[in-house]
Amino acid sequence: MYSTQWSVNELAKRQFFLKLNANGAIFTMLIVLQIIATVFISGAVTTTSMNDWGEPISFNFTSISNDAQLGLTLFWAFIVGFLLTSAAQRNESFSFVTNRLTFQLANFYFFCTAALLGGVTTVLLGSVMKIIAMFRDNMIIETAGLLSSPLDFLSRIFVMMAYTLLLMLIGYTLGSLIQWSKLFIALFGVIWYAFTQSTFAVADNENSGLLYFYYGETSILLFTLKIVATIAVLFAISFFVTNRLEVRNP
Amino acid sequence: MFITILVPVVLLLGLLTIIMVTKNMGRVRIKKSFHWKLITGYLVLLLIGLVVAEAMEQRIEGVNPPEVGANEVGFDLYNAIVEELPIPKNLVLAKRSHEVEGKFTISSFPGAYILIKRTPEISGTIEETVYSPELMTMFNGEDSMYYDLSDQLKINLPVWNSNSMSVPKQPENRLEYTFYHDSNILNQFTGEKTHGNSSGSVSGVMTIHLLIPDTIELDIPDLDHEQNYYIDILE
Amino acid sequence: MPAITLKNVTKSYRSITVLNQLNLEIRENVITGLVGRNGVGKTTLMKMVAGFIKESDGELRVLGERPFNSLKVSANMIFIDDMMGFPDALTLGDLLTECDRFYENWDQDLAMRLLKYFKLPLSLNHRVLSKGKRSTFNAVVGIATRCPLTMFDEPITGMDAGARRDFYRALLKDYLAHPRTILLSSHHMEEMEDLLEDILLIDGKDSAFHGSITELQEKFISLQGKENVLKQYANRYAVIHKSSAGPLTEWIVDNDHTNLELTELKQAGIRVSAVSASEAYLAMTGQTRGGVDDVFDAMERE
Repeated sequence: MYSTQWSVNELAKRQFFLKLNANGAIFTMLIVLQIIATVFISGAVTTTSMNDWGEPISFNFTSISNDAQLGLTLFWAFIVGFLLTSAAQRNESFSFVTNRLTFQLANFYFFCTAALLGGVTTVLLGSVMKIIAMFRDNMIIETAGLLSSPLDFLSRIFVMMAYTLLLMLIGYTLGSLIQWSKLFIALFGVIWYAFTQSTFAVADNENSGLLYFYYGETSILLFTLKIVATIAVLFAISFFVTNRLEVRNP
Repeated sequence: MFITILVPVVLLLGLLTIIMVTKNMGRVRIKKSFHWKLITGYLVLLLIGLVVAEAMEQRIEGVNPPEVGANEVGFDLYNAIVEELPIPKNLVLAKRSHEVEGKFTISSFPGAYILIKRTPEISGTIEETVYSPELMTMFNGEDSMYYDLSDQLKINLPVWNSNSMSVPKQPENRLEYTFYHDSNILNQFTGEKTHGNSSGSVSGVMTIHLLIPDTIELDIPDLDHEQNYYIDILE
Repeated sequence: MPAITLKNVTKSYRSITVLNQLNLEIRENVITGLVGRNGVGKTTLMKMVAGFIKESDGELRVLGERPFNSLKVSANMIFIDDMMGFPDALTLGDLLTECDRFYENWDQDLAMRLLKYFKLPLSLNHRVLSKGKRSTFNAVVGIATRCPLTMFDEPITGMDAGARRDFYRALLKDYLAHPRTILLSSHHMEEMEDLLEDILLIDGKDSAFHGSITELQEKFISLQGKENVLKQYANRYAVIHKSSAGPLTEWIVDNDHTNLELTELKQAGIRVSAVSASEAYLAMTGQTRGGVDDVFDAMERE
């Protein structure tokens, strides 16, 4: 009679597809944010004017990059991580067959998919920005494209995916802890204050601090190891919390 | 301090906006297939963008201005002329000779630096060489690499007639350049991190080097540094 | 083998104990009514069985496993209540498809037919449904999943009388065709008593009664007669319920009379009859001993 027995893997997969079906709006949100970044914040303009010997020489240069798209994508990633810890998300999953492990795994698969999309679109938006730049005068392209250096192109996608996934898990872990106890909000406030003070206050020494731990890494292998280790730790912390969460509790 | 407060506020606002928007999306009942169609369409669009960008890039390859290192910036033209050292060809804007009758007058001029060397020859011919100023913009502060944009400067050459030379008013130079560079975060492993195109440099103004035979009498304005012109007679 | 076993199970939220040292067994393939007054812990018990919340102490076994984080329990169980969350982005039709992917015994055809009968278009969104329609949809899901353990917590909230009757009827019919363990909680005992086999009455953090519905009925008898006669003959017994409608007064009293006593009562012109399950339930929970009237009566006397 009680024959139904799922494997964790199979259920995590099904929960993942349920999540994809239910959260299409999250991807639409990414697209909207990226379009906003492309249309409204297309490139910072730096102007240098030089006057020498009374003869005006003004030299304006516009730097265009996909910084804005990248920034908004990372911002989106953090928020998505946070969003998936909401009580509604949990209730939706627990309306179907799941336990806390498959729920957590499904969320993780979802993050991987979202990071893949975030990584690919951000790097591809670079090409769109290039096209925008090419309609202007005197364009200088400083970043080689896919054909001239395919490995570099792939490494960009990889780096972007790694950072997107990292931010999603940070958001997810923070969200989980806050779901567990609201006291964590205060704790995070303190940690954030300490973090900014240590990272940005000593701007003269840019080769130190937490950000440099990832951003300053020049070996792709070590970088991957660092990211994977961090994600594993965040996954463990969030699972510690998720595994205790009570569902449909008002 | 600024970041300490701003980032959490922005994140909170973002979270609220996104929650509101997703709530409203539920209300207008967007079908779930809409999202997947949108994503597919968007990806296709981006891929087309990639192809177009690649094609355009192939077409304009080599258009980037020459890159020069720090040692090539700021060529000491004065010294080279005085010491009669070789001068890079790309600095030479014009090399002309003019027949002059009688007294040679140089009228008051702005925007040029004139070096006059008297030659012991007996003739009525003045050899004129005009050198362009350098316009460099630094694009890589770490390795001190510059783009050489000197040839982009518009310069009006001196105007000659039978017994005088004048430097016309120089046109206004408005150079517009657009740089495209992928975000530095993406370029962590490509060695293409940029440090901003934040500095440019123009070395002086055009230099006019005149070889004037001793036989020609000179009428030049008084040297007056406050009026932005300069004439130097080399011994 | 019992479907659900509780041994000394306690559930407390911080300092508040909701269920204390609960011991019971729910039989397999039986419809059990879970009744009790508001806030006695019916929902807590069901959520614990569903594995949504964790027991604080004691041993809880559902289908032989501890339900918290058990995939087996989750796969073989469905818990329907009005807090049931469904993704906003999915239509009712999409939700049925998801159910089909998750529940092995899911009967898509039955679900579609029931939704059609209850006039719930598949293109609608779960969130835009009215309270009653939402309860109806959830109930249909509960029936069509055919889980070996099916739990309904107040499934009829917001449903109109017709929908309530149809729901009970549909549940019974499907249960007869596909027997399973059903746990049903409701305040409307009189509506569901035809359906129930067993009754589990929770009162005061503990199980006050657990047994078949006839056992519950046999705990009480109803005495009907003229009030003065009743007072003369029946005042020796604990009167649980008095009602005086018309010339006759009805008392519901503990059924611990000997046959001699019963004959005596009958000879005095008192009609002795069995009580309905809902009357027994009301008597058990003391909801009828004067109830809220006592509060006002007491105030008037002062």
